[in-house]
Amino acid sequence: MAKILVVGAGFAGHFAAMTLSDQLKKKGLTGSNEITVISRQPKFTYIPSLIWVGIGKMQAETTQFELDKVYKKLNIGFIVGRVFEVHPDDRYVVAETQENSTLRVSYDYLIMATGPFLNFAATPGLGPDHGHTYSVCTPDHAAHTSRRYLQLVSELEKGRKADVVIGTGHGTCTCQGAAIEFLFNVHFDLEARGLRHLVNLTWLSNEPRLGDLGIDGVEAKNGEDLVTSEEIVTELFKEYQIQWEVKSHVYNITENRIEYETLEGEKKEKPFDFAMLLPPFKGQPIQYFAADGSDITEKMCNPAGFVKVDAVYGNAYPELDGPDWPKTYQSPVYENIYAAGIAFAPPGPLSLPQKSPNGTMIAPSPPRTGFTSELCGHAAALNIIDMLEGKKPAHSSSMAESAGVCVASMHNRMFGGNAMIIGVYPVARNRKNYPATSGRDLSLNAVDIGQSGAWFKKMLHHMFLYKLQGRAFWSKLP
Amino acid sequence: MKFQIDGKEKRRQKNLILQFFLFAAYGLRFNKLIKLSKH
Repeated sequence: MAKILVVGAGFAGHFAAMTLSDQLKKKGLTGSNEITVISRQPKFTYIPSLIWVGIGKMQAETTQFELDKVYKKLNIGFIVGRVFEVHPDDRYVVAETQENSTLRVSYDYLIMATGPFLNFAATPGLGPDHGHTYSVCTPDHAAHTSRRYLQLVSELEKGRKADVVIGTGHGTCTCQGAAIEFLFNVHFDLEARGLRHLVNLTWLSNEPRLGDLGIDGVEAKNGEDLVTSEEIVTELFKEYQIQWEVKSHVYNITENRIEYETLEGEKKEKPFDFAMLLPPFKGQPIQYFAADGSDITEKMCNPAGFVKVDAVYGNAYPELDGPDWPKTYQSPVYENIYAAGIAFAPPGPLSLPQKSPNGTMIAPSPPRTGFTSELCGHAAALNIIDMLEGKKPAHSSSMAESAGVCVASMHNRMFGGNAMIIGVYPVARNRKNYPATSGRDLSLNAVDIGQSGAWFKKMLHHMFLYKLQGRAFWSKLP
Repeated sequence: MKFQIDGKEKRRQKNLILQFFLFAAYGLRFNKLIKLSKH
């Protein structure tokens, strides 16, 4: 009997556990194998909808469901706890449970899908707990943000003017797409309330150019023309009178000022009354120990704490290409360990990394959407089943051979709504496969705006929550 | 600039019949992308 342990229950971990349960059942291997999930949270959160929670248009609970009910149904063991040690030679992890006791959980196969550690400490004054800015990264953060946002709305209703800054809180942040969604939703919400003219709205980001979104932008065919995400976002910002400052590294935040450095090395300040700035990510604080007790974390993880997998590490950005991106998500050190979702160490950035004359890195990290994370978790799960069957891991889900599907909400309404539709194939430019079109298949890429996007965004919210709760025919859904 | 948010573009974004067809078209495109992504 094999024990399969999944650490983390976000898009990658939860979907990996569901895939394992489904595939083991289909192959008649359920009785002889055991799946367990350890997660810090008892609930799954559909993070893409937290932008609506942040402006008070949705309750945080609407984005969540209890994991234990799903896992009971799928015959998956579940522990709420925080893993802080992995012992790969002896095949066990050590976790701290909700009751503050320490638990040792053994495994034969391990999937690390821990998600990111929100590194607010990287910038003094960043974040809702010890700083002056807000975030929409967790349900608590988003609910906290909505309370302050609605307070700001009531101040605006009394005729007060305000500076609102939305974007990234450090030069190495990722997930610019989520921040820009929040920006557009704030714009449309204020406009619907008749308060937009009172707000000076600014986009402050580490992107090398507008519309980069941490994925080096998107270009798609629009009839005979080629339309880019940069053109669309620039047009939208001009029309909505949103100011912007890209290529920026926020290095300090006081009660009402954001201090940042530009790519040219200039130090600037921006006043704010309300700011939602995303933090940079790093790996969860988990240590790895060999059988002799020596710390092998550096061998297992990159300096940021993300788990190394079957990627080609070390190539500089200009040389980085499709074949360098991981395919199976298997650790090169221990073949029974996989890492999926945000937890795996990417071989490099998708966007152009740059350095200011002062040596400050302004380099967006590669984002991983829910769909990308699901694909990683799916591949890792299927590869473990391959190994259970005595085969070599044969399932691949390279970001250089898979699509990015992103619907960026702008105004969440069934009628009169708007959203940006972004389809990109592949996510990571693959110049080897698509040398003539800068590494992407332009016939498959899509960039558009319209009501249909708002319908899509709504549909994805319901479809993902339906599917991830393991409801009828969940495995048939895309 | 090849993408102008002008009056014509705005009408396109809000034309419910056109947007319904675009919803179907992008649904098919996304389905193709998803299938291509699962190896």
